[in-house]
Amino acid sequence: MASESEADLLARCRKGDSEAWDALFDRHYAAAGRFIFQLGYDLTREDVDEICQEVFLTVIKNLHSFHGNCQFQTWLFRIAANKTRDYRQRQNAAKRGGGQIALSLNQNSDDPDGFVIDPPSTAPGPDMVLMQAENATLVAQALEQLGGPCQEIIELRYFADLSYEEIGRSLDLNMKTVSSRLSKCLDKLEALTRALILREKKSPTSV
Amino acid sequence: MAAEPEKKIDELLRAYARKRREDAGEPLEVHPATRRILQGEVTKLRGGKARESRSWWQSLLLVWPRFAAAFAIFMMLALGVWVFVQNERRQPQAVTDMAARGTAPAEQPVLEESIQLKQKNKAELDSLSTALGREEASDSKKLAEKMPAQVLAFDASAKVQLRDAEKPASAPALTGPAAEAGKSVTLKLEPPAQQPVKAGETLLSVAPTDKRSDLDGSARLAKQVSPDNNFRYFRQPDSSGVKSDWRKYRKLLSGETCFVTAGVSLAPNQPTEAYFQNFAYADTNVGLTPLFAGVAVNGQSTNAGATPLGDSYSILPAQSLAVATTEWAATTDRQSLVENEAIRSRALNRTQEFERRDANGPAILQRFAVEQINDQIRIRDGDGSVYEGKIVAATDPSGEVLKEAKDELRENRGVQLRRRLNEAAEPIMPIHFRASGTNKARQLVVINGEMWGEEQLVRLGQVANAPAAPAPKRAPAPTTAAPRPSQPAAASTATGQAGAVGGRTYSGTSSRSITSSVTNAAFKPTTIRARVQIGRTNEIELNAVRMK
Repeated sequence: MASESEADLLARCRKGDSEAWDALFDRHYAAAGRFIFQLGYDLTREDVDEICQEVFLTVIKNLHSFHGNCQFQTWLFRIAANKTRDYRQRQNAAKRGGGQIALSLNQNSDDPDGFVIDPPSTAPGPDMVLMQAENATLVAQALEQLGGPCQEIIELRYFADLSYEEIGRSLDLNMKTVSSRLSKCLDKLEALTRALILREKKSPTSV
Repeated sequence: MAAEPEKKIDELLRAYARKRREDAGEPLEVHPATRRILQGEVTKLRGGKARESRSWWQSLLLVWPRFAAAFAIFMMLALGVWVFVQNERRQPQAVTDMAARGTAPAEQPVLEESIQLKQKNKAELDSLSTALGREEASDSKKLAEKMPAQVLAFDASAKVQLRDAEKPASAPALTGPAAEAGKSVTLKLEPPAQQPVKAGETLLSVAPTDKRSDLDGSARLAKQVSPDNNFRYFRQPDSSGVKSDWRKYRKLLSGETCFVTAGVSLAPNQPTEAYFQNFAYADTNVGLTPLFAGVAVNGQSTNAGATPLGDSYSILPAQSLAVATTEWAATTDRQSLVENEAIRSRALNRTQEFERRDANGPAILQRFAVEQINDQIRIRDGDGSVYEGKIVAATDPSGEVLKEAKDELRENRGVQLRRRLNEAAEPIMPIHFRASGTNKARQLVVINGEMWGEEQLVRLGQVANAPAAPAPKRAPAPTTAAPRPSQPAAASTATGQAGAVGGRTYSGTSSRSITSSVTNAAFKPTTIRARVQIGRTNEIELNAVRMK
């Protein structure tokens, strides 16, 4: 089954072959989850699971609309990006309305108190980690503020690691357009990020 | 694609992506619960594996009602097309058969007009046959079934009967021992009141209430027995029904059978189309002498004139039934047989001659009126037909001479020319005209004629009778298709009706221009002579005199 081409697999899926669908889930679920996880700086694995489930339900319903213009994974990532955006909007709306807090179902239940062993790490120091985390958060916030086509093209380029050619086929653009649009979008994102950093520096540090 | 210059934001984005991937930890796997949900959705939307494992016959079972419906529709369409094609084939075949049967016995052309008329009035026939009742015997019913629809109609007074035909003295069949033996039976249609039955003749009558199959007396004929009880005559109708009718007789004693051909043509509504196979002859193989018999149809005397074969004609009232009559006599010796063959051949020739005569159609312009307004002319026929035309200018040398003389006179070139002018002022030249229209039979009628005045005729007679008169100039043919004028009948023989006369070429001594004739108010035509073209082929000569 591993050697089966993606076209054959999709053909079987269109015929309703459940085994083919299982194979399709196994082949793309992890990549979709990893991609979705990058789309939000505060997304948990539970969020990703839920979004992934919605994404693949959408794939099941709309597989007939996929005509092979681009790779299936690219088409899947675009669905994932849209579903993530919708999910985050719903999540933000719930937060504004005093919504629920998601709890992880995979939390280690061996420790009834929730304490886990934290061995020494070779990772950067806490200050560096904090700075990186802050920068990452600001970038993610800036990207979220950017929105629209710029957000999509940047996500496909940096989080899905798609080439210009693949992005062009996915968005029905030529490569030069993808390049120029990506450059402009990065400039906008940089400006937004700088603004966020400056605002963060000016604001008093809360204790 | 060339590498883009590194930007700060680019580095930040890569760092963010790297961090999030690290945060994601182990790759995500499909949770069993999620897999069940997704597979349930697949089964719900796409039928799952059940559709995959369906065999061909199961699929066939699912769709067989559609196949059955499609097959039924196809069969119905095919049946409809087949029926349509069959009908299309039968119609021309029927016409062909009719033509073949119509031409075979008498070698006559097919009367398409009669066939069309028969089809047009089929409904009328059906109603007629229903109204006529059911009084005939079973043999008549069978004949009626065999007989196709015909255009039949009766005038209430047209009660016809069969009686002896007039026998010419020169008819060989009527002489000799056969005739003396009383073996001849002659039949003719006449109203009983006008033609009383003579001794020894067979009388057949057809009442208006008779069934359609017996309108021509055939069924009655079938019951007839010859006076010596040796022959029985019965009818075997031709399926075409329009043109001809077979009559068959059987010699009772010897059992020999031969055929007698008689024609029956009925077209009550359009007399001109009442074309009749106006001959009948008997086969001589059994020693019967054929005698010719003719019939006139619908008031039109189509076969006027006697024939040495003993033709008999009768003018029937319009919309009456036309029935052929025939006459035969038994002969026994070989010489009579040879004579009979010769008679038969002559009968055929006579038939062809009558065909040609009948092709001329009905007589027209038997009584008519002529109106002239300037150069316009209108002829009102007695049957209601109107033919319109105009007076045709004829180019003749005398007119040119007249013009030349007048010109010279204007130039005062002498008294001699004045004399020439006076001579040319009164030419003997009729007024040519040409009129056309449609007669009652909807045939195109073209009349090319000339009008003669009384004075012209008198002068013409003087010129023709004067021995010392100068040789007359031959009148040139007019520029139009006007025929050569024939010798006009004498005005004293005027009967008020037109009659066909033999044409004689007229040579005029002089003529005058048409213009002068038309403008001459004193000119009153008393005689009209013309050639009348009826339809495409028929042409008759007309010689009419003015009625007092």
